[in-house]
Amino acid sequence: MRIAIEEVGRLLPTQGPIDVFIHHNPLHEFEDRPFFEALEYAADLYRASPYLPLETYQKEFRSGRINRRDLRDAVLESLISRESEVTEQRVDIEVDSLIVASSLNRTSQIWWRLFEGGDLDTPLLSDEALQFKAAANLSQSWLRSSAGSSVMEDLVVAVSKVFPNEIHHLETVLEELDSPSLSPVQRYLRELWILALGWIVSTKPEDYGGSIGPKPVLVAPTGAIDALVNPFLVKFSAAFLDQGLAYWSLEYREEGFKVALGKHLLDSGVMKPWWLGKLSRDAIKNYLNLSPEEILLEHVLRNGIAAEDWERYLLQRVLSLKGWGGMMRTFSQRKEMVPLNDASHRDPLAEFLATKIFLDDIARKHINPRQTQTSHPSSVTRREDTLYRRAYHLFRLFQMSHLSLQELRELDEDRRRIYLVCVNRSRKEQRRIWHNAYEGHLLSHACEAILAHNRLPRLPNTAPKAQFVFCIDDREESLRRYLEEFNSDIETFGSAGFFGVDAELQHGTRASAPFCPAGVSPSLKIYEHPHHREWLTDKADTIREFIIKLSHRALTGWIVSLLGIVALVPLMWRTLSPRWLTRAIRRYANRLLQSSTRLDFERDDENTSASVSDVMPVGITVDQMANRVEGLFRSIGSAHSIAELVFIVGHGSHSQNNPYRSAYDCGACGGRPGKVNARVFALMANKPEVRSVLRQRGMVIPDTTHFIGAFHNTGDDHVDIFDIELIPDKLRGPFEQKKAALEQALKINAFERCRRFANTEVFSPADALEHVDERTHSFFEPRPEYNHATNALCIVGPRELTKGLFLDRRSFLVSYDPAHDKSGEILLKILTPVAPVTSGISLEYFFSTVDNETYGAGTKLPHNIASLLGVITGHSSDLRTGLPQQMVEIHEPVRLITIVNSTREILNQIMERNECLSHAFRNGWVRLVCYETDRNEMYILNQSGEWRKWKTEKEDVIRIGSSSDWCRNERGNLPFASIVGSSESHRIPYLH
Amino acid sequence: MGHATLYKTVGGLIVLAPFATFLCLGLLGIMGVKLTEVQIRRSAIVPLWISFISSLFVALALTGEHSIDIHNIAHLKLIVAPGHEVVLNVGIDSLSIPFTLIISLLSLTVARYSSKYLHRDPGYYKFFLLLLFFSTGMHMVTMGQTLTSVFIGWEMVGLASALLISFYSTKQSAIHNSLRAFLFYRLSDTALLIATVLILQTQYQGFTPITGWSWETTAGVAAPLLVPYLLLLSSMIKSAQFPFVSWLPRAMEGPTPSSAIFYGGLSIHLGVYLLLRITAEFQMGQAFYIAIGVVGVVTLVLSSLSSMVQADIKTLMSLSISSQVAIMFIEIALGFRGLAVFHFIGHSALRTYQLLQAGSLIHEGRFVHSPAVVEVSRARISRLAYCVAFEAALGLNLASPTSIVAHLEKISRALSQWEERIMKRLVEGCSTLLSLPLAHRVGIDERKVNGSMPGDNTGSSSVGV
Repeated sequence: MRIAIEEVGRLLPTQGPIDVFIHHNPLHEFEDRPFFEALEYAADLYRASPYLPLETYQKEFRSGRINRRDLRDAVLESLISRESEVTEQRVDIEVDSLIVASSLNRTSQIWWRLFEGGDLDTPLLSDEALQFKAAANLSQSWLRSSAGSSVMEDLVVAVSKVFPNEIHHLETVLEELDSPSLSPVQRYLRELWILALGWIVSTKPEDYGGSIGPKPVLVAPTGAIDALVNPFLVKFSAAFLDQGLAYWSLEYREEGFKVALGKHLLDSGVMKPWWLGKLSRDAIKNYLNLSPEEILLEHVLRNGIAAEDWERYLLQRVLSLKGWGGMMRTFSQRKEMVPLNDASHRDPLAEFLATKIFLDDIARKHINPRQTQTSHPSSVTRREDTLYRRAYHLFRLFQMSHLSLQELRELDEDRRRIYLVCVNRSRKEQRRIWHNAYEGHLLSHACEAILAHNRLPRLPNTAPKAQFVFCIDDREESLRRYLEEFNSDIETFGSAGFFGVDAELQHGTRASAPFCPAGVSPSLKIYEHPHHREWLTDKADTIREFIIKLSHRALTGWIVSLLGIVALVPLMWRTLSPRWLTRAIRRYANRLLQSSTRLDFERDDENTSASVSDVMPVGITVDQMANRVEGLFRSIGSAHSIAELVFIVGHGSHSQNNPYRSAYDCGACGGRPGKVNARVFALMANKPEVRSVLRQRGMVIPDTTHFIGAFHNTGDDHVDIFDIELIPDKLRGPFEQKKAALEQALKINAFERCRRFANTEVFSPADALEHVDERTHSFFEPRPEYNHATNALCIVGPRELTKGLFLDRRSFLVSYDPAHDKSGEILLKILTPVAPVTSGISLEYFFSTVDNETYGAGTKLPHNIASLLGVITGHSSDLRTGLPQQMVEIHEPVRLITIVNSTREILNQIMERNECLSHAFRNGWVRLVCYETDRNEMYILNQSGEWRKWKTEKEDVIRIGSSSDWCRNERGNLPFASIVGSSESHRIPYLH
Repeated sequence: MGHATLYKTVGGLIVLAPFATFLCLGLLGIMGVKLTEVQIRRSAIVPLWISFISSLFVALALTGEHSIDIHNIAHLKLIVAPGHEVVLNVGIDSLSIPFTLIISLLSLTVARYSSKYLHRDPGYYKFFLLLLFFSTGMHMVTMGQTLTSVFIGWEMVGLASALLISFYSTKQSAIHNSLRAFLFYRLSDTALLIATVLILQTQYQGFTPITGWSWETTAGVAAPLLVPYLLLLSSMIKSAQFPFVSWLPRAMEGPTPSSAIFYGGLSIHLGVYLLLRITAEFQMGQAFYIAIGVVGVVTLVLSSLSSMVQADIKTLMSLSISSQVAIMFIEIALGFRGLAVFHFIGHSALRTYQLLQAGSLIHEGRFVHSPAVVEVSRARISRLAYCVAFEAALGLNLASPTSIVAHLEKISRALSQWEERIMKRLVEGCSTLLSLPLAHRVGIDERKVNGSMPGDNTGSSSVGV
């Protein structure tokens, strides 16, 4: 039972408190399995949807986002793995079958479509009406001949034997066939329908790879019980896990969840929830005395659950509260968050599970047994429905074949088999192929674009005057592109946004927090002295907080609300005031409050570092600084060509009234803004001591070079530059020039971003900057920015490969120079943190988009903050994990395509050496592409772990004049394109 | 007199602007016209501006010159029968002014807030339609010069409220909680309706039918015994006072702005308004004031106790709102009417603002996860107080309304079965009489009627779910 509990724990969401939102793969536990297998397994387990709805893919097909070639490739790929020989005809029929597949589920729906929806009157494809009419006419003449005269009647008789309930519908169809007013096409459609039914009833689906009937369900749906138990349990869990929202904390909280609940029930006497009213004290005492394992064991034995099913059973039972369960698990690992007495042998998750089961058992007695047995009608698939669904599919597929009735009747066994196999394919399988086509399209487009872009003649390289090191974040792609587009003397790099400064930061008296990727444990501590002006904002915060606290108490609340009319001022100010005024005042306030802090990050004595101590000493030595500076420049491959001005730009994002604010910050800084990291790195690299150490190691930073730390707010597109006073006078001029260039790039960057906001019409870059500024400061804007919603690619290689390529903010860009890394050592160092961070982001978005209710957090609008840990929807729902709908609505759910400029051998070695990377790449959680630049070839790692060479089909890439022209007036995703200047640009519609 | 007409027109605009827009928008919706977000937004915000500016104008005018009388802006005879005349009368007096002002101001603010907040939500149209409907209802209540007008507004507010709780109608809990609120509201409406009818009755006894009953004509008249208590009951439910608190925390299922304006700002204070109104117009006995006071005190204790232990912000907020409204009840009981009005103004502004920015609780920098913070909130209290607090206001201890619903469901199911049986008889009778395949059209399978075929697909099976 212990093992089962732990197993359940592993399967529950692992999202931590929401104040630090770290993107991660919701199916992290399954990463040791191949992607699609894991996806579908998890979908069963969590009752989720594994892919987008069928209609969505079909809509994308009609819009050209998926084309027939992609679909053919995907079909071929799925067939080749199973069958030795695949004919052209087979693929065509399979493709047609996918295009006409329908998601109607029930017999009544299908009949409705046929009779009322016009399916029996208008053919599926009216644009090929000629061919279709010919087939229809042929069929009619055949039916009138002696051979075909009784065909229809015979079929109807056969069908009505299997479906006696539907006989009147069939009779209606037959009657209609008799009437002379029908056109040949209408007649033909009715005959096809009857024929399709006839085919289906005369075959056994098992022969064609299909199966029938619902899967055995371990746990009957418990909606009625949950409706009774969950509100109580949610409120109780919230009180138990509370981090300071409630004024009074839970009684007996330190004795663990179960004891607290049991004693609460004992104390409350008549105050218990009504359905617990009849519970005897003995039963409660019994619950208190037993260990959680005993309670669960007793329950499963009583219900006759086999030992191997325990974990699955328990998971199903707790599924409606999986967010809370997951948080309990997090708490059993982070013991400091709930002050338990003898924390060692209290496992909140086990106690939570036991309690849920215990309460369920009580609630069950109060519920009409009928309610627990009958489930929602749509969840039961009847055999009849399955057969009808297939017949309907076949009926639509027949229409694509343009065969006459006679030809269809006399079809040879092979083709008949193909048809039947196609319609017997499960929904899940159809959607899997669709999904592969959907991803395949982007994959081929990305490969083509990059290959073709690199065939274009390259501009001669000039020595850069300034270098900018950004985070690898996809949101920085456009900013880097614009910087380079307008300034030929600027070079940009991408490196994980903590810049090797794996710091634990303490600001003033606040609690310290790690500023580095989730998997890394910080190795240095930085102390930030608060600026003297900060007391002002601090005081304001304290006073506001104090007032809020007072306002919720009865008598102090009376005084506060008597004065509450004052609240009208900010309320109206923030909703109704004119924009220019707010902006002017904000600008003034910012100037007043702008403050720079002092950082402690140096340490002189070498000795203390060796002493074993629990508290990490503040600061690091010169040697360690040199290591970090060297590490960064070696990894981005610019150790030998450092310009005179180097900007280190961290990033983060501000937004108002947004529980998910942390999700917009830098993932490489552990979901926090990378302000201090960038600043500390610049300060380190500017130290003469560090430079002299580096010179001894063979890395020369010119004395004239100066490093500048900066912080890019990706929300309002402003950059703060730190320590301007340290810039030497000689560099002042170039600095001002580059700062202006940066500001110009930011403006146009904001302009490009605005095209994604559907309710925004912006006409100039200056307007755009104002708009994004307003957006991030508005307290009623659920989308301050779109975050990583457009992520799809990750390109690891020198910037030359992608410089001047419009990537539509869809790519993580990691700078790496394979020329200086023959062994792959540096690549391994880069990928170890980068791959998990980027794939975590990508998969979090993937799953939140595919099933927003199960993996995501649903719509953000009714969210309600609970326990300061997360959000619930409305009054008492499960703790929501994943991303809300407003963050993912424009996301294309595709797995991250990681293109690495290296060789296959090195990548193979790396996968051998790092198990985590191997799982991610070999199991297909990330699509890995190896880009070998010496011959300009790409290799894709496929499902079976082999490299497949990418065959170029299109020779050219779209050429455009400038990025801003290309994306003007467009809302959706744009194709990648080379920026070649205005002379030879032309527009091509998106990949039809 | 020219002045008076101007003021009347402007006063009429307060309620007419949102209502007319509601009708237009609703009509367009019924006709199947798809409106863009911008169109919906503009057509909702413009009338709310008109409404706000009109109420500001009237307020300024009335505070300046007391001589102008706009008690009677619109006058509509609903039912005219010998001896009975039910009149819908809308007007403004000194009690209406603060309410009208706050209602139009907060509606406007929330509409502006929602215009962006609900962007891309499939219910954008529905939301603004209901917001206009709600705003009209609120003005009807506060500007109503007869109980009939109040009742109509009261109904409108309740309906809009229930529909907005179930805004996300695919969520089961939203439906359940909406149903709960709706049931409570019906109870409140019923009480108000009975009171209205009773008052109409007494008015007509012994008097010649005048223009119908209105606030003016009844001033100084002793009310029938039962009426004040019915009105108190109605107010208690609408304002979530004990023992009718439990619907309020559960009403937090809709989008945040709707929660803010209904349960933070406006609709929750309707009970206070009604009490202010009737105590101004009727001579109430001492016992009535004591009753108001008792309700207030009990709610104050329970709700504020309960808000102490809540660990999610919207529940916490709703309970502290309930406790503040309880204080307003007490103020009325003690005769501090001006204070109650002042309290209402401040409280509605404060809570609307607080609820609208409920999402900013995390990341304000003040709540940092550290054991120290957890320790701070560990004020010791008695175990019993905790239990009472935890259970009381959520209504978990009361007989479950879901079980009431279950009983109702049983009854209605029996009724529907009975109806079906009758229908079957009827249909059978008719079809034999007319020898027409009528059964097919009515939607009942002939075979099923004959009893030979069991499974049917005619949709009657899905009704009972």
